[in-house]
Amino acid sequence: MQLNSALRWVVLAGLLVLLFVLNLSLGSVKIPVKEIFTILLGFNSVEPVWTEIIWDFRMTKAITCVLGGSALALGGLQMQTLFRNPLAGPDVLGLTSGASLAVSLVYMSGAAGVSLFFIQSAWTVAIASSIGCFFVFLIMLAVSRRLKDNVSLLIVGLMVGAATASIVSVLQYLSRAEDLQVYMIWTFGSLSGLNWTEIKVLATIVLAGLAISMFNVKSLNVWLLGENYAQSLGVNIGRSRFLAICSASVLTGGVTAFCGPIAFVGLAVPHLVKLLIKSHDHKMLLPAVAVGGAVLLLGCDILAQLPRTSSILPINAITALVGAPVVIWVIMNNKIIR
Amino acid sequence: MQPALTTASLCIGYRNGAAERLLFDNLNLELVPGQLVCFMGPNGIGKSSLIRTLAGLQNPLRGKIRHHHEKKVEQLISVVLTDRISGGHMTVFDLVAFGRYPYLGWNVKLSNQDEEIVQRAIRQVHIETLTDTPLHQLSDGQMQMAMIARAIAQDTPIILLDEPTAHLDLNNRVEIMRLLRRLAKSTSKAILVATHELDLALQTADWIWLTTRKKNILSGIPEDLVLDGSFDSIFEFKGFDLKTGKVQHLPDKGISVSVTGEGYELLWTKNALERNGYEVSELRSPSHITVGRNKDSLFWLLSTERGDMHFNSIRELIKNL
Repeated sequence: MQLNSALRWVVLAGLLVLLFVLNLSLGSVKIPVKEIFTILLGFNSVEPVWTEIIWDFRMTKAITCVLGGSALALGGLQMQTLFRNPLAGPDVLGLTSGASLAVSLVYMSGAAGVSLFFIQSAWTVAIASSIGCFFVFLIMLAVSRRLKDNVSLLIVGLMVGAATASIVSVLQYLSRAEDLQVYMIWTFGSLSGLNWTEIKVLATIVLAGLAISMFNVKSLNVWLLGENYAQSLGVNIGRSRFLAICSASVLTGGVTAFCGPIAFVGLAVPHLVKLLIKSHDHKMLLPAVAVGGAVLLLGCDILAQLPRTSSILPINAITALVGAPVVIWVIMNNKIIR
Repeated sequence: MQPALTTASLCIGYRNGAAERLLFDNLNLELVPGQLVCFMGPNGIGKSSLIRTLAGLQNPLRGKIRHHHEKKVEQLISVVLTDRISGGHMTVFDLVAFGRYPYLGWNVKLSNQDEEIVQRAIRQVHIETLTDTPLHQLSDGQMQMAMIARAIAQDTPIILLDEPTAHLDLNNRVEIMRLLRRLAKSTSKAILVATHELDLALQTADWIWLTTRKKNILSGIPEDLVLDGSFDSIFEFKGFDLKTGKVQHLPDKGISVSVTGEGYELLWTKNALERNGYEVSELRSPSHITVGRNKDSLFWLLSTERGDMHFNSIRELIKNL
């Protein structure tokens, strides 16, 4: 049992390293694997431009994959635990729509005659996106206290998504073509295009979210038994719920801001990881899910580059392709999940 | 003995803005160590709300709950509620280990002592063989046992259970009530069980709490409450005679018979006759039945004016009466 679970961790870590290197070695310019290692170890490459490609393009993208995948998966896991709902996730519960609305306000609010944000920097977009997420999360939480039944909750989530989408479409209708295009490209989801400063911002956000969730491990475990039992076991319900919300919305909001609304990762990864690490203990699950999210997004990004043309597919197309079967599988195996 | 918990003028219900929905008014109750208390009353009267309030999961409208220990409430009271548990990959051990959470730090590390307490709790409810079984493979009865083990592992002087025997078959119901009684005696815990199992409660409880129509709770030992008619007035039995513990049958056949015999044979023969609408008279009637034993087998002898008839089962006897 002990050895077995250690082996599973080795599998996860091995996959992470393998896919990370594979991700670095793929791209429109062909660079030999030996040269990649030479560059990574800090030696001079035979082709100086390769050094630049690896460090400023591929490395930033691979790290974005790791950070983004981890963040989305951690957010998804916490939401599934908090709502005690296997289908909870940033997109299904309307969180990404909240972020989309906030970001669309940043990019396109000028069109509606009011400029809510004067500086369109990386920080502004990130903060707006986090606020959007947090706001929708609060709505969902209030609703979840009234509606105990999961299906109703999901329907409310879809409705919140529809309502925010309609506001976004009004903004789109009114805004200038240039602003609209910036926003549209954001919605496709993109893992490239972050510079090192932006990666530092994203890394800070992800570490903060991870730290909050690890601090909240005990409460997350007890939430599995539901609110009443959690309270009877001495957990401060209000505080732990707030911490889980904070963590999940900061994580989801941060990633959505920099990479766009990336679908299905938050929903699918916790289920896939639980297949491998058969545990309910969040002390194990949180790190495992973080690694699993990184692995999945690295993998999806590799798939996005497979056509081997100069352009890559939008990441959202790939994650949905991986995620949708997982959702179907979850529904088919509902007996075990709940 | 000093009670583990007492309530003083406790009022229970829900407050919605200025409006107040009162469920129980002015309760002065106590739970005593080593006693099994059965809490009975019709559905929807607020038994679960009282349990939630005693457990500190809900605030009382007025009044006080006093604990006679200087501990945090999660180390004083454990609960078994009707909430469904969604297990995922949890095993019975994992579930029972949740009982140790009030004693653990933020990083949830079970000490050797904690593990020993968990194992002992599992042994106490006799589900050792299920220790590593995932929850989704348990039957309803086994799940309830695991939930009780979880409450035991919480190591509290008081355990409150909300209808732990609902949806279980007779065998499991008896087992759980006997277990709770044994637990109260052997560990000196004060145990409160909300239940609908009237017959089981009367035979296992040390004490009964009985809800009344005046939003109050009568308490007493089961036999007193039976004999003074409290149960009859609360439950308004329709065709059930609590004092004999039997369902009442109307002698709609209008035929009177008399029976002689002894032991269980006599008891069950009378039961069959009454169930089928015959009046069983104390005096000898023209139709007389003798229940007897011939070596290993039972026989029934029916004597009427038309002569004697001999049967080997109650079924044949009833058919020919």
